[in-house]
Amino acid sequence: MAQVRTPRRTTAKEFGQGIARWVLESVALIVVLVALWQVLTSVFHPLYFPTPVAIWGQIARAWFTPLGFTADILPSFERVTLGWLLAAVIGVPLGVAVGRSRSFAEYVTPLVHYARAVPPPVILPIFMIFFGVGNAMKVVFIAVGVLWPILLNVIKGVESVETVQLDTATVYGIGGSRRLLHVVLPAAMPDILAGLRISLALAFVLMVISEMIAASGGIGYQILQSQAQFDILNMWAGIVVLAVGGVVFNAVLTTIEGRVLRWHRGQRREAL
Amino acid sequence: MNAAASKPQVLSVQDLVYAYRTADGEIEAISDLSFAVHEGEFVSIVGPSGSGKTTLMKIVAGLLQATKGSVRILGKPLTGRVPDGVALVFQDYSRSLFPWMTVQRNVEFPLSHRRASRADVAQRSRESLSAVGLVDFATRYPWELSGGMQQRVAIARALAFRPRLLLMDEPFASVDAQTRADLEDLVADVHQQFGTTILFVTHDIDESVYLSDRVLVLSAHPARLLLDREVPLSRPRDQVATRELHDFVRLRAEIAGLILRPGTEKTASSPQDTSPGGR
Repeated sequence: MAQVRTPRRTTAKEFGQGIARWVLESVALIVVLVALWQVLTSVFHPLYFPTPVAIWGQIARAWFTPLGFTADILPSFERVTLGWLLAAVIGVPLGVAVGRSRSFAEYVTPLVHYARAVPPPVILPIFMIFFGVGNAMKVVFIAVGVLWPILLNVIKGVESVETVQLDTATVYGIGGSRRLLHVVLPAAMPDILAGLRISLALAFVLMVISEMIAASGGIGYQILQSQAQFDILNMWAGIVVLAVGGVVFNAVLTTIEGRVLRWHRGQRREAL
Repeated sequence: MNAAASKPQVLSVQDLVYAYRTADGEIEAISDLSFAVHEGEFVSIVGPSGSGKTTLMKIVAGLLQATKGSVRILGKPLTGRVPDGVALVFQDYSRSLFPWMTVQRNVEFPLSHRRASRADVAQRSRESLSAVGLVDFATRYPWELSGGMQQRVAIARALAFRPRLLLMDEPFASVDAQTRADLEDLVADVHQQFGTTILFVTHDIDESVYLSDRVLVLSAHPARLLLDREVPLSRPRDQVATRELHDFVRLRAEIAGLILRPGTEKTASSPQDTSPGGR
């Protein structure tokens, strides 16, 4: 076999070095910026910018308490999770169904683009009429808002499955639902997960908006309330809690994505 | 004359027409094509690019429907469904393999959906991977392998399926010359070892003569049968020695004349009768 070459495989050592470099690159910069912020704020005492130490103290005091958890943090993250999951459960199967039929996709895709072009906040008043201002309204609002990027990406992914891959399955007698499950879905998975990741970020935005406009609890509600009551420290604490929550959610999804799409990253690396 | 002709027909194509519609009207890609492939035979179809060879393969594989005429596989007419026991190796190996499956999973995938026991599936995949020399690469992913090795995986997958008819559509058109020679010999070996009936499409005249028991020459626009000729060369064949033989050179020249100087086919040869009793 003349054409054998050594495939590139990441060794444990390389993997460790990669993690170390990632930690250094991403965490080091944050540490430096926070330290700079600490120094500047403790020297100049600006009215609207508390020190990071003070913000941390406020988070520990007011947010990381049983009441803070149940009244604000949990409801917010629950809305994000439920709204996003609802959109995924509807969007992925619907996108697959639309993407499998070319003519259907040609009709539906422009419609989805229109729907996506509507800024979700403008439909919030309509949702308040139909669903009131309760938790269900916020979940449905988030779900409807983040449905479109999921749909578009799933349709695109399913449409762009290689014809040769589909033909291969067909020739080997694998058709219908088995072909869908074992060929179409895995082939479209990179796009499906990209859509889910984009929509997760959007779900956070919509959660905050819905809480700022119509809520009696939640992180967005607390941030706006604190600002109105001139509790600048608590406002900043809320922003930090929200940001950290966003990072954690995204990290979880990215980890899952990395596992599911190991083949995809490897294939792209080899193609370079 | 032809030992294979007395064996049962695996594939029989009768008066096949394939036409497609364009803005300028209907265009015939395949015109009144008739031929047969018998059990254990290695038949090559050679013709210029755009002579409807891939279209013909897709029709036989059940991926396209013929406009007119009949295609029978093991005596059963194609009825718009994918025929049983036919495997197809595509030219585009990188797109034909599933990159999310390991080499072994790729080979076993068509089997795992048939009524075969786990042990049988594993045994078949090991057997066909060893036939193409890739047992040690079973746990790798296709994209970790070179192009030639990827095409070997595709061949192993087809072998594990144990097809009654193996279709190969320009399988070596995208690999380098050395790899191509290796793969040609591999397929020749597999044909001998497993007795697989193979219909092999290529635009390479040398390759068609070197590999097959019989060569069919097609014209372009539309595809018509120009020549149906036995290859008078013994097996096993050799990449260097066989290509020097007088019979090889003469047959290659005859085919080249038909393909490179179209219009002279009537004086060169007339299409032969392909029915089993005809020769």
